[in-house]
Amino acid sequence: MQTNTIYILLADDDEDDRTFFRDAFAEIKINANVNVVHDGEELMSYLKRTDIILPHILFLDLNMPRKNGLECLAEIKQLEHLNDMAVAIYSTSASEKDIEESFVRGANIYIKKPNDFDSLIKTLNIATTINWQYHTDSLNKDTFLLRIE
Amino acid sequence: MRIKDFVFSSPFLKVLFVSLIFLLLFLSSIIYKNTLQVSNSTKWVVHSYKVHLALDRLMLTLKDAETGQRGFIMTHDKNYLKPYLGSKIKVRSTLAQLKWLSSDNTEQEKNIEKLEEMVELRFGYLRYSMYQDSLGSMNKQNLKESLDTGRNLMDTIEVHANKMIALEQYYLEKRNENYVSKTTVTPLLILLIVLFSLAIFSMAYFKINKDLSVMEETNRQLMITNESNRQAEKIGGFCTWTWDLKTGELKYSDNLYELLGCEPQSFKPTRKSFTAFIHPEDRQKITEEAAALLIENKQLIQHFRVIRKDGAIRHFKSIARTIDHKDKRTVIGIMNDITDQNEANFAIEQRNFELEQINGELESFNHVTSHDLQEPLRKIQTFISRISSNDMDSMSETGREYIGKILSAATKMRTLIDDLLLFSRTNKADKIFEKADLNELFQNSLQELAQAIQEKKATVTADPLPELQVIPYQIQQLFTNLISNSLKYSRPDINPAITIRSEKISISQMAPSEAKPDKIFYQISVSDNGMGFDPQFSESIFTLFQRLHSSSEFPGTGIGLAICKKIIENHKGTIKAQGRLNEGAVFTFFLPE
Repeated sequence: MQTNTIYILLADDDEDDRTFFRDAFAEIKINANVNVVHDGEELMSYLKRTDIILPHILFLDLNMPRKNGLECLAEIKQLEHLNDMAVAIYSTSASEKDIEESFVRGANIYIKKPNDFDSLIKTLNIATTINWQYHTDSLNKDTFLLRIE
Repeated sequence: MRIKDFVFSSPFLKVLFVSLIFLLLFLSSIIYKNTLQVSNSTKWVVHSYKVHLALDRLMLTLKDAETGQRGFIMTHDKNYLKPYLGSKIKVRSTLAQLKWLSSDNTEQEKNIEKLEEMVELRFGYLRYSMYQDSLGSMNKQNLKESLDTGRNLMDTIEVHANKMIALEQYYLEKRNENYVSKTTVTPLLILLIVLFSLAIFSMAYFKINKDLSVMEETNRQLMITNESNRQAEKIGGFCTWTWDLKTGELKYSDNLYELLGCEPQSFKPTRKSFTAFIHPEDRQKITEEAAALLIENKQLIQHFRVIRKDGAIRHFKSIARTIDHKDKRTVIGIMNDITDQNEANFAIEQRNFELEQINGELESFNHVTSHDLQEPLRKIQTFISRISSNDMDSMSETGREYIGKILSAATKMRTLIDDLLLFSRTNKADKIFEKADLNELFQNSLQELAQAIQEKKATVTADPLPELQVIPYQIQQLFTNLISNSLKYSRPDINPAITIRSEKISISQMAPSEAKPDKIFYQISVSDNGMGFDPQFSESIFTLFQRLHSSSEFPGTGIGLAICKKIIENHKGTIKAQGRLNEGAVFTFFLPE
């Protein structure tokens, strides 16, 4: 395992989306370690495990069974050891309500799932190469939503 | 207060009446007193007359006696002696009468005593003359002397009697003076009283007459008012009652009985008789509240159920309050049968609830269909993009063509879903109005459309726009939709020119059906030189999914203008479209100030 490897975690209940996600990362020329969980509850128990390396970025789907993305987000922000983890909302919806809610609850970026594969690659590329420190400090409603069509 | 009002006010009338009575009593007592005095005077006249008469009779009797005696002396015929013989008794009774008449007058009493003495003396001489005569002719000298002395005495008596008469006359005159002075005053007084009474009677008559006609008119008005009240109660389905707290008397209007299902005035209005109609479950509460009204003395509104005579349960609303007039306190009440109203309200509420539910369902249906459709569509698009980048080369010509068609169909579906989402978002209730500069919103729209404007070589000119209370993102959407509409339906041979005009107008310039009264509106129009449209479509153009062109000519969803209409409706304005085929279109909307 190399030191400049970037650890990525995706929480999404949709199998196709998980496949797209993995395939996209396979195309991106970076050292990425992609893990996936299938729903909110699995996500939370995974993040509470001690034998894992905490992900740098969590891609969090909002619409999941058992525990949805927003609930998970709220719980994550309560946990101190996850403070350094960037949370990227990764959702089909681009409704004002969802965007505002996740902004208020402390997500770092909002990604609307793109409609074609090339856009997906571009989006994920940007999302993983962001200078998170800088991005988080200057976060506002306009920079929060990442949308590449 | 005006003088007339004061004069006829009842305290004034009371005072006037009482003082008039006293005045009349006073005058009557004076008259009574005077009349008494007049009758007194008359008595004194009679008295004097009687004294006079008695004295005359006395003299006459004496003279008769004297004459009789002379006759006897001359003829010695005993018949002549008759007056002489009876005269003494006559004289004595006359003297007694005189004494009695003058018992209150000492001077006359003395005179009478003196007269009596002289009369006795006269009788003495008479007897003496008779004696001398009986002695025969030798005593002729003595007889003559006696007769002479008698004669002289008689003269003295006459003088004395005359003196008495004069005295009586003097008294009478003195009394008469008094009498005359009073009898001249009395008729004047009576006349005065009669005139005065007449004046008062005519005043009273006038006043009563006037009051009577006023009362008649008031009665007539009252009758009319009563009748119109009765009609109003009947039509309005309400009734009234009054309760005089002083006498405890209750009065019900006719309609109260009818609302209870009874014949008017078919039972005696008492608290008990009404309470019997109140639903047993409401009875206690109503009675307690009514008792509280009497203590707190304010308006009381009650709702209760009534069981009508026919057994039907009706809902009543009652409003009662006390009114004080002088020292009389009365409770007045109005009751409504609100059963129908309640039922209608309930039905409306029910309907509203259902509508809200249906609306909610529709909204969530709209949301779900457009939102949840996105997910599979996105996957289709993504898979196609993967196929087209990876496997296009190994596909046949037809396969590639089909993939292309699937891609364009999916893209079209995407636009449709996005527009539908936008439309459903425009529908939503969470609209926040804030003061916004429409120029700014318009510039934002131009920026959004900058690329399209450039591509079409369009010119956009605009008047200065106002600052209004709006939902900013919706107005921006409105500008975007209208301008992009103009860009889209431009004529290929001519550069699009879009003009935005703004004008402040008052209600009179608008058709009454198009706006609420008393409002200032901004009329903003977006006009172009594009293809325009057939005027017959100027209404239907705003209908959802309504399209005037085939999608091969102009791709579109038919939602854009529907959104515009929705936005304007959200702002309580109106929008209309005017167009002429191949000449251009004008979209005009009105926004309230």
